[in-house]
Amino acid sequence: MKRKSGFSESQVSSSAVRQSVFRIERRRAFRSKGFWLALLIGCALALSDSWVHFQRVQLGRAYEIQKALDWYDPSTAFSQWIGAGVEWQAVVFYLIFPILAVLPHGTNYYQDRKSGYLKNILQRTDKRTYLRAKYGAVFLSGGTVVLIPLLLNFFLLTLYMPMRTADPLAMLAGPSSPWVQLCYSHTFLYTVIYWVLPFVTGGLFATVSLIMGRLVDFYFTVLIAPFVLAILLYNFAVPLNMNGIAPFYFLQIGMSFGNNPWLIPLLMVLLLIAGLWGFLRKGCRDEIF
Amino acid sequence: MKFFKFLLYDLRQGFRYNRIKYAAAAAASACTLIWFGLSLNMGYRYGFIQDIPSFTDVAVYLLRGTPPYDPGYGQYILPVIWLLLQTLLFFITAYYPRQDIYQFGQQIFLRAYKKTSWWYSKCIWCAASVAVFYLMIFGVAAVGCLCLRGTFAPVFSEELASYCYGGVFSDVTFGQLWVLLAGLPFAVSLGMCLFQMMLSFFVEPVVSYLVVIGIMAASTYMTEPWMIGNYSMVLRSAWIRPDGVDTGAGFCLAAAIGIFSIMIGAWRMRKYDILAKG
Repeated sequence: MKRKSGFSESQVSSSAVRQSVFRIERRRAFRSKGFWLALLIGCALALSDSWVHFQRVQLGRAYEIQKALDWYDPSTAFSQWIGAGVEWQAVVFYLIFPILAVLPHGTNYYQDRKSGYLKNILQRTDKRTYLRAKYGAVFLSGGTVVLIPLLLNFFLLTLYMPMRTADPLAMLAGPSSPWVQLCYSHTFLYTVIYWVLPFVTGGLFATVSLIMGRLVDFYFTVLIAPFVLAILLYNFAVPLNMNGIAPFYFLQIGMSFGNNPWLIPLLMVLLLIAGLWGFLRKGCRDEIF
Repeated sequence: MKFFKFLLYDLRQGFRYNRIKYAAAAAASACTLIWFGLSLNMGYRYGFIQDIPSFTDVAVYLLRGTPPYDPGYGQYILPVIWLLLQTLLFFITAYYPRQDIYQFGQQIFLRAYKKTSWWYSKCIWCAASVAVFYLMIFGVAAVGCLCLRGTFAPVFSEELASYCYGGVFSDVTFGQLWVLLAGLPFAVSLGMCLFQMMLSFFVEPVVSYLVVIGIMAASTYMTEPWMIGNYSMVLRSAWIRPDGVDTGAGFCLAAAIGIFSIMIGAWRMRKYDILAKG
C-alpha cells in the first residue's frame, strides 16, 4: 500500500524507527553523567581562564601602563580567549580534550555489548540503524562537550575585553599559520573556524573509542584510547614537523605556527574513514548472540 | 603472613593484567628513539657532532622533558616523549586497584584480618609497577644504545646534549645526572601514582587519571616549585640550569604526596563499602 507521500508503509515505519533510535541514543548521550562531568571539567578550565584575564583587566594594569607609557595594547577577546592558547588552562584543556569527548557516550557501545542491552535493542531494530545512531550520538556529544567550554570562555571574555579586529601586533597568528589571511581581515570568522575545528575533532576522536569498544575487552582502555592516540600523534608530529596532525597544535590559534592546512582535513578524513569502516562496516558483521 | 599473600597475589595479578600495557609502553618509547637516531645521523653526516652516545645519553633523551617555559617569551613546546611516558605510566596504574576491589578483592576482604592490608598491598604493588616501568625504560634505552652502537661506559656527552635537545650539562656530575634520571622521576611518579590510586576511591578512576594528567600538563607550562611534574624533567633541574627546580624539594614534595595519599587511602579503605557498587 502506498501513502500520499509516495513512501510505502514499511518505508515510513523504518524511517520512524531510525529517527526513534537516534533520538534514544542522543538522549542517552546528552543526559548521561559523563556528559555533565566532562562539561563540568571543561567549563571549570574555561572559567578559570576567564578569571585570570578578568583579574588582569580589573587590576587596571594594562590600561594604566598604556596611559603612562602612551602605549597601545593590541590584545582583544580574539587574542586572549582559551583557543588563542596563552594560559596553562589552554594547555590542560587541549591536552585532555580527547578524554572529555569520550566521557559522555564514547564507551557506551562497549557497555551496551557487555550489559546485554545490545541484544535487547537488536531485537527491535536492525544493526545498521543502531550503529549509525550510536555513531551520530557519540560524534555530537563528543563535539558538544568540547565546544561549549570554548564558547563560554570566549563570550565571558567579550564582557570585559574589546572585540575589535585583530591587530598584527597582537601576534594572534603567524605568517605560517593556516588561513592567516582571514585572521587580520575577518577575525570573527577566523575564530569561528577554531570553534568548528574542536567540535569536529572532538566528535571524531570520541568515535575512536567506538572502534576500540569492538576490539578491546577493557573498559579503561576503551576510555583512554583516543587520548593515547592523540599523544602518539604529537610524538610523530613534532619530529616530522607535521603539526597539522597533532590536535594540540592545530586546535589552538597561538600554537598553529608552521601547520600545513591540508594535513588537518586529511587527519579528519582518516578518522572518519576509520570510524565508518572500523565501526559501522565491521560492527555490522560482528556476532552479538 | 596474610599481608605477604596479598602482596604476592597483587604482584602476580597486577603484572598479568597490565602486561600488554607494559609491552605497548616499551614499543612506544622504543619508537621515540628512532628520532634520536635520525638526529644523531644528521649530526654525524654534517659534522656537527663527533661523540658516540652512551647509555646515559639515551636515557636522558627519553626523560629530558623541556626547559622551563617563560609565558612572556617564546613559543610553548609540549614535552611529547616525557608526556607520553607519564601518560602510559598513569594508564598502567590507574584501573587495576579499583577493578580488583569489585572482583576478587571482595573475596580477599572476607579472608583478611584488616581492610587496610589490602590497601597497603596495593601501595607496594604501585611502587613495584613504577619501578618496573622505569626499569623497562632503561631497558629500552639499553637496547637503543646497542642499536646506535653506543657505549655503556659511565659517561655522558655534553656535545650530544647540546646538539640534540639544547641541554647544557657542563655543571652536572655523572652521579647527579643519574639522581635526576632514576631517583627523582621514580619518586615523583610514585607519589603521583599513589595520589591517583587514592583519588580513584573517592571519584571514578577516569577523573583521578584526568586530575593527575592535568597536574602534569600544567607543570609543563608553569615552572613553579609546587608543580610536581617539573621535578621529573631532567632539563628543569637546578643542577642543569639556574632557573630550574631544586632536587631536594622534589624528593620532599613527592614523599609528602605519597605519605599523604597512603594515609588518606588507609582511612578511606576502613570505611569503604565494597558491596555498594560492583
